[in-house]
Amino acid sequence: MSDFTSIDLAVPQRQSLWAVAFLAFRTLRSVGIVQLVLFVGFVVARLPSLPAVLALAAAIGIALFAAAVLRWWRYTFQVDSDELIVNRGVFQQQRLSIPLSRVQSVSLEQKLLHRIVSLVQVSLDTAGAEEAEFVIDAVDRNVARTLQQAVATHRPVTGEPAEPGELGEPVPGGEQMPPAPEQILIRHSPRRVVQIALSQSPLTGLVLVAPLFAIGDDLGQFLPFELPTIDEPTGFAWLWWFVPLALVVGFLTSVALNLVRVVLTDWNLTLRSTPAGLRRDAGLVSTTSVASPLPRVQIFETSQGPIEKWWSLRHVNLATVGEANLAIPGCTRAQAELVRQLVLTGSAGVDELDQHVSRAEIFQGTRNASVVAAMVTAALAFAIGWWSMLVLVLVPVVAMSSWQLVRRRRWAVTNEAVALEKGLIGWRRQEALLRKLNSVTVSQRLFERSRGLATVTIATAAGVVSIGMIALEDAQHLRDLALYTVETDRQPWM
Amino acid sequence: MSMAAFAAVVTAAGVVVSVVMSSRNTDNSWLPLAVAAGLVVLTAVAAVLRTIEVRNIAYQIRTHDISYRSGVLVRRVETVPYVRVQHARIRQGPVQRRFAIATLEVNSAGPDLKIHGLPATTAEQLKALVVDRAGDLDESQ
Repeated sequence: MSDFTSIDLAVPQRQSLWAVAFLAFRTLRSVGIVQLVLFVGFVVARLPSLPAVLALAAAIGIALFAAAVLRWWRYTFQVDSDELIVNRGVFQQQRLSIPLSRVQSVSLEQKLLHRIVSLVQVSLDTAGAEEAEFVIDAVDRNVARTLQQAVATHRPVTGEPAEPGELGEPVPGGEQMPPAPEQILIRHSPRRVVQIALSQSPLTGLVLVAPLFAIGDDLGQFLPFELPTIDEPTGFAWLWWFVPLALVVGFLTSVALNLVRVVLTDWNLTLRSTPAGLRRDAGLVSTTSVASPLPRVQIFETSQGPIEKWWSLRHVNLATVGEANLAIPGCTRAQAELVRQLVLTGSAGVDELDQHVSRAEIFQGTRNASVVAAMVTAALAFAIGWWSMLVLVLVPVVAMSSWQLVRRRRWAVTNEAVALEKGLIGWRRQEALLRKLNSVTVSQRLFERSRGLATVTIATAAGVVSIGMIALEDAQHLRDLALYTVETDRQPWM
Repeated sequence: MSMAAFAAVVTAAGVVVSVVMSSRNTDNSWLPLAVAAGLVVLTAVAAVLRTIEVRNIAYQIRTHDISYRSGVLVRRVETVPYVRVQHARIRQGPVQRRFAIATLEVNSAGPDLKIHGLPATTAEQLKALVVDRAGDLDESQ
């Protein structure tokens, strides 16, 4: 950390020698691992003896290693005024120049192998470029941090200079400060990480076991007990204990797996404000670090599920231009508000959501559910007779839930921002500054048109805020206000 | 409802009907006929909807933004301010070339605005105008 500034990126830098390993793997992958295995299998089947096979393997290995070393040797990068210049290519030298202002975010990632040799992998997210993500395999952490700093402190020429005051930290005495030191905004304790895991949908853990389903049949033989079969004389009686038991075991397994996943990815989750923006670091075995300048944040999203409500935690997501959204689960109300104030950068957000959407949506939901239920009832009547009427029970359920949905959906617009909140059991809230708008659409479905209602969609470079079932005049007013803001506001939108 | 969703619904309905029918009757000789009939109906519906849509399509050029109105079942007016325009381009497929019409695409960092069915010359003029205004606004910033 101390010799942070001693690295001069103006001098061409080479990756760490360890990068050879990563480059070799990359070559292997570009050839196609499956093709390679097939080729080797094909050859081995025809080779006369073991020494010949070994010689072939050695030859391939040496060729791969030599190619990787050459690639490493010919790969240099440097920062020249406001461009990142990368020279690469063995036979055909390629010179890439990436304007720093085009780089949306810089992520540092430390995989297990990186961690052993204390290096990091740098990914530059350049939205819209032909190579959307640009990766430098293995460099020294200091070099990576310096590069992250160089990109982050670089603002487009039309932008305002970075002010420390913008970061919610008043400049004492108004004197010229050296770049404000990094400030930790949020650091999650191990307990909080466990809470994050437990408050997520338990099914997310099943993502890890999904491949197992494919080989489920073969796994049956490893079970400690015999699976009952339907042919047994006891009939279906075993289902009464087996199904609930299987469900409980499956549920507990997926919760445990999700816990492992979250601990691995979100351990020690830290959000820092740096002179150039926000930086999120997290991870246990392999750590990731994502940095993004504040103006690149387009939409501020918070949500709260039922279990998060229990602990009064909320999930904060900063939708940014490019691929690297900053997600900070498990925030307290105060932490979420702190981040929100930073993102608003002095603009007035929406404090109270006082507008509702039309109740016609309750009618629409109920009507659609009734039609579908009636059709299903009629179809099932042939198979199960009067029992098919049970389907109709769904209609009042849908009616109640759409009533709740409409009651809970609220929105508001101020001169600078628009916000929307919705949810049935939990809630999700989006807030966007109007000047971040890139395009706006007012649309009317048939149902809306006959009732003078409309949907307005404010699209930013990182997602949309879409408010449906509001009065046409309100939608048009919101559109005009947003367009006016874009015309008159001269602050950069990213 | 977009045409894709419509097609998906019709296809799904066709599959359900054919499965139900084939379970009762083993003779499936009518199936290709039914599929063909379905496609004809689908095309006819699409043609009618498109004809109605064309009457509704319009664009508007204002000092600071460009708008496009389209749609039949869902009518929409999309607007992109010139300040947010990244680039503009014209697309012309073989059929469009035959009829000397073109599609103007105005790309922003958000969704793109596509104006279909412009006369090729108008498309060129509009593109020049959009690029020009976008450039002007960039400098004044």
